[in-house]
Amino acid sequence: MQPNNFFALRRWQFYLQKHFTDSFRFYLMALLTVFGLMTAIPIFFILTSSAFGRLSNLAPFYYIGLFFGGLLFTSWSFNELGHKEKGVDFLMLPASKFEKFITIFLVSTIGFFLLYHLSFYTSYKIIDSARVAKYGQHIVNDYSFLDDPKEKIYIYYAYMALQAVFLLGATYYHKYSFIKTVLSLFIFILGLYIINAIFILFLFGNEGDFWKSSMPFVMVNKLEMTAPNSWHPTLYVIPEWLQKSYLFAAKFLIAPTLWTIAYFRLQDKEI
Amino acid sequence: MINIQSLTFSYRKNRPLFESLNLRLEAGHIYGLLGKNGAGKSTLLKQMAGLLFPDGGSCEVMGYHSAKRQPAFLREIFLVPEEFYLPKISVRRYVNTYAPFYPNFDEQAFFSYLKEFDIPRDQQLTEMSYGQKKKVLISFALSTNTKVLIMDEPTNGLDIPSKSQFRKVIAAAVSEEKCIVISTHQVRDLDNLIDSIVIIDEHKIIFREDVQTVTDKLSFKTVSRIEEATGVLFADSNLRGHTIITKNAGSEHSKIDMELLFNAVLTNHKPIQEIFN
Repeated sequence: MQPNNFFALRRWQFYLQKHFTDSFRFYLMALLTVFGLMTAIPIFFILTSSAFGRLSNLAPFYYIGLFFGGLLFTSWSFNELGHKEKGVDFLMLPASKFEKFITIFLVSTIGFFLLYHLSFYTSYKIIDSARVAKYGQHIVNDYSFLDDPKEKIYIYYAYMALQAVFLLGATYYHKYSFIKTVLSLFIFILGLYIINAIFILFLFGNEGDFWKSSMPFVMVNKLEMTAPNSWHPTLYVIPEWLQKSYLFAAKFLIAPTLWTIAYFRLQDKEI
Repeated sequence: MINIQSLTFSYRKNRPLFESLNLRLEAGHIYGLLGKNGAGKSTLLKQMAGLLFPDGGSCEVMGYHSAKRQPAFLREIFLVPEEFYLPKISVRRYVNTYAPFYPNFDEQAFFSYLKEFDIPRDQQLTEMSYGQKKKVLISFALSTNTKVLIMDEPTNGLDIPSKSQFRKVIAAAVSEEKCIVISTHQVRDLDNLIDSIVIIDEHKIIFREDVQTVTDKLSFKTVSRIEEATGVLFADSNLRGHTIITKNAGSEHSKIDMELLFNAVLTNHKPIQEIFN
């Protein structure tokens, strides 16, 4: 019988089994490292300073762990393609490209997200116990991670967009993927900034330095001299419908688009 | 089974490795792909396996475009690369993890191959030497019963008894449905094993004949004095005298000397090829 060349549930189960057989030790070590750092550093602060006892003190650790840990972990995806022997094993295994991609995608998105939060919650409980043991007080809950969804939810949108960037980076760079992706991202943003600056120079002329005080492709703050030592700022902002389009793209289009490109990149891999 | 048409490929621009290369390999044969180091053997095998994509032309295996690497294609082809990866698990777990991908995998055959190679079935792969790991991979490759089996320098890293065991298990595994392609630069390792010879040199197929045709048309002899022989196409001197290749004019039977033929084709290609045309 001709197998389904795109997706077969049974074959995917076999592939998941194979993937975790190969990567279990790495995933376990990564989780233990994140958990260890997330627990040990705050405990050190608690033991050395009684002022370190609020949840808002722990929040930076949470965000740094989420972004740095998550993106570093994601950039490790497709690491096997950086090694000829592992690459041959990966590409020649009779599973579809979609099955191989979706496995890594799920591990680096949902898998990391779930385990990271489980790890952080466990760390929090241990840190709280340490504070109770040392000072007889619990950690003060003065910070809500999602108390204002209109504000803090964007942190997670930003994380997903960056995760997609690093997953795509992992399909381009198989060695030192994290550093190379950071560098590429920096060059890309710099490029956008330069293009934006050129546009603004064309639109507003080259008098004044207003091209410096702009948010690329969103707004320009034009300063005009009305009298000696007197400046009048005029803020030019893109129309609201365009702002909403940007927002929609940032929330729902960037990450899926980059994930899709990463999938097609995987299809083009040669060893 | 394997049909390569007008294959063009290069690693770098303006430096083509293959230009309009054509090759057709059929089921029921063990092909020996012979060539010097850097001749392009591994690259050609990778094209067959779909690990490299043609710049021009096509590479079809069992009717599939190999570059698409579809599961239906991958489950019917197995590549034993020169440098390979085995996870840090036991032999038993390796089989349990990898075998489900191959519908015709024969577990009994796998363990009998391991026995033939003297590999303990419960040993961890990490505790094995390179040669032992290679024998596990070869055993697994044969047990998958894929229609196409490609081996890149399979005898590298094997000791002398293992090379003999290798020849034995490969010879036993061949069937009418299977096409086995073995590349090597150590041509003696394939003596008495292959039934068709493909010689690649400077990125071109310069010779492709089956062993029977070679022995029908060429004669391999050892003579004490080279002057006694006539029509020598190629000669190589050793302690026993001179091993020579001549045209087989009298339909006499001789045993093919793979290394001698290989050297002859490389150094005296034109007159030898004329005999086969």
